[in-house]
Amino acid sequence: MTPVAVMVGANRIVPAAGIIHPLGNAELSAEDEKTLRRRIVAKALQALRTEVAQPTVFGGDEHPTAIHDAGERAGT
Amino acid sequence: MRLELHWSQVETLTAGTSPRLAEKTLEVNLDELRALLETDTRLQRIHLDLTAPGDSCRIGRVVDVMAPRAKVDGGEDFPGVLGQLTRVGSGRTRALAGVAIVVTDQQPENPGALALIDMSGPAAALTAFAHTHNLVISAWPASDVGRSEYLSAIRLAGLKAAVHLAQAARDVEADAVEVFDLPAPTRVPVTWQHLPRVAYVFQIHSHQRPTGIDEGILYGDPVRRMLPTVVHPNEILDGAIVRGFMGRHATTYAIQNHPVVRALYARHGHTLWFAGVVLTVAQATEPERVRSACLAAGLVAHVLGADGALFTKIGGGAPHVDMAQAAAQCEALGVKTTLIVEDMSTDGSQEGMLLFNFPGLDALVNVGSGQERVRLPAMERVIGADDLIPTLQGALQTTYGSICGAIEQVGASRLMALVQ
Amino acid sequence: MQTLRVVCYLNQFFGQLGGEDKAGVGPQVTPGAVGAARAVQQALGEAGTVVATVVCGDNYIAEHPDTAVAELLQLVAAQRPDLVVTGPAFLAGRYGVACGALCAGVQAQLKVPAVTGMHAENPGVEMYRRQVYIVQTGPEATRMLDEVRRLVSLGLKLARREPLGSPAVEGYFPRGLTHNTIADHNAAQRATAMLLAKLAGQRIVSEVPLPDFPQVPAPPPLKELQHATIALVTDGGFVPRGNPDRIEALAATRYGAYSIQGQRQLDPGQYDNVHRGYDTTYVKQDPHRLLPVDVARELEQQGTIGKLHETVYSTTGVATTLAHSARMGREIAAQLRAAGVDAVILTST
Repeated sequence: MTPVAVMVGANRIVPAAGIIHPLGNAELSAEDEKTLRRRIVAKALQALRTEVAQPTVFGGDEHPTAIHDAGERAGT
Repeated sequence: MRLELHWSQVETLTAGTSPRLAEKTLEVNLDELRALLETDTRLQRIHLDLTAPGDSCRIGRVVDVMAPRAKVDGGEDFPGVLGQLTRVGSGRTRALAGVAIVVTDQQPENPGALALIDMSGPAAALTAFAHTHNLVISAWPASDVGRSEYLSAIRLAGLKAAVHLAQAARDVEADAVEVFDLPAPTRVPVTWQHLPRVAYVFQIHSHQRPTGIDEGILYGDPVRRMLPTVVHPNEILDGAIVRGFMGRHATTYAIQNHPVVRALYARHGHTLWFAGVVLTVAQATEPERVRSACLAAGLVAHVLGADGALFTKIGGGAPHVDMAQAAAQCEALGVKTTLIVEDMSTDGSQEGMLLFNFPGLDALVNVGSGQERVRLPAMERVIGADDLIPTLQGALQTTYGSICGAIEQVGASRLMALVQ
Repeated sequence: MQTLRVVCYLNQFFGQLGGEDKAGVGPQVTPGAVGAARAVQQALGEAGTVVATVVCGDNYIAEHPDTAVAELLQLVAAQRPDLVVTGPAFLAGRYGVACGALCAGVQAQLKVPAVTGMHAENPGVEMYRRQVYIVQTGPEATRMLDEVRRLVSLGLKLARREPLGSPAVEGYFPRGLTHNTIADHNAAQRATAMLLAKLAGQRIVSEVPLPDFPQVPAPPPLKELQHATIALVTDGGFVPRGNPDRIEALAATRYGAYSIQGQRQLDPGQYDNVHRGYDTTYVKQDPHRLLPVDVARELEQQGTIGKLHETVYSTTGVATTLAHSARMGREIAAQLRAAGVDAVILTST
């Protein structure tokens, strides 16, 4: 629903994993799901540290292999 | 593909000994029909009622409405759901005008959520179903029948009854024959090549709620991971698509009499060339939504070669945005679009009507506000909702959205929200 | 048809008391049609009688905002009108605001229909067009007779409770309210006609005006995370079991504030979900799919963030009106700010 967020003026927008489970995915194992959640939260924290002038979508990479990198980077 | 709809007009619907149509009177053997429907072991009790336009009657707990249709010459009815899986959209189909099958829900999840049809009074002016003679089916679930199974069973009962009624007219000469003949989009006669090519993008389901395994929608497929695809408009008019179980402001009847398909056919060869139909489902995640919008726009612009496209949706807010994304991609490819939207405002304010604002999407038609309140008078008779008689029989305050047929998202209704 | 009793309201100039020198004049009433009210009587003809003209100075109203309208309403009420016509105010700003305020008061408190007129740039339009019927006029009184005629015509329909045409037809500023009507053709037919017109390059009138949301200035980014307090908020319908704050499943007007003090994670057994706009099975199974308390606690433990705020906020974001959404947002933001929160992660479904 990112177009709605852009339209109403939200300035920092992170696409999540779907309407019915934005910060999870029932099709993944519990561990993979938690990793996905860490990645999206990490992206949100990154957005909070980014200067924006207008509604900005912090687009995600959807490949699971990238998750571990992002998770580790968030910890530094 | 060439489809002939052979229409018979019905002005009286009565219970009788044999299914028969004569002199615009349709006689139905209710016992025979009940026995036919009771063969489904998922249902334990079936009750049939008849009601006519003008009756002081309120039908409660309406879950779907079907139009009587029956293939003749060996075709299959509602393939994949009722009939065998085969292509429809050609040959001859019998149709009855002035009659509808109304299916009620006797296992409602939310007792308060109801759709109703008033056969007289102020609500009657709002819906086509107050002007049809209605066969109302109330069926109770057998024990241990889950929600999805029950909805599948009652929908099937409605479709069986639709075929049963239309078959009564099988041997009677039709009052009128409509021909729907549309060649493939590449075969445009030279004399008509100057006409604007118009496509229709038909969103047939919303994945806000995933479909059940027995919730067939497109040739019986529950369209769970459906990517945009192309069908011939005749297939829509001839039973290839039925509504799923969640019917917010949408009925199977409206699909069977699809107003956009009919409107485009009416102008085909005169003011436009009907380039074809793209089917989509409203997706639940952003990547899927973007992919669907991309593919749909590609089909419209590069495969059907359309100059313009008309869009409808089904479901609530997310599909509204999904449809807009597909349309925005079309506009980006140079295809002019018009969208039929619902007034999404919950407080009657203009600002709440729309949930999107994409460049180029400036041509919007609306099907009214479902939230606006309306007062309805008392009715003498209530059918389809025995336990609700105390509340439904008297005068009541409800919303336009609760009146089945008042708002049809495919554009069959005339309700319109005016900004004043 | 019975003759309607009409009361007119004018400022000191149109009421012929004087110019700016008389702008401080207090409310007064004269029987019959005085000054510009005579144009109203002319337009009314047999349909109505201007029984009284109420006049007040523009400065008096501007300087007595709390009491002036109440005084005027008393004078108006005493005349038992069926309709009140104020102005037209053209481009006169204080006059336009006064006309709008009086019409709003007449409608709300006297339950009498009212109508006024002014130019599009009169501040009274933006302030009152949602509550009051304001007919569009030119900047000055050059075409006053025509414009008064339109005012009166609209006023008579209101007084007689006749249905109104669209703003374009009746000549008033759209009030931004939607109302269901029955069109001559179904939506599919109207859409086909509209598309063909658009393809032909003709002017089309959309049945839905395009939204125009104000820009929200973006707060500056966090300089660092290690000392930041982050709060979690959702509109996904998350509630404690039993929904103690009775947050609505649709069109919510309430939100809840729930303590997660000392909790490393959310126990699904203690929570529920009331949202009706999506399948809530998955978020009920695991509320972290809405409020990532588990991950946020980890980050707090690791020192990546300074603190996870002890309170989570939740409401239901389906069919919520813009007005309530904005109000709830403001209220939650105020509480978070008072508690020293630096940033929010809002999960939306």
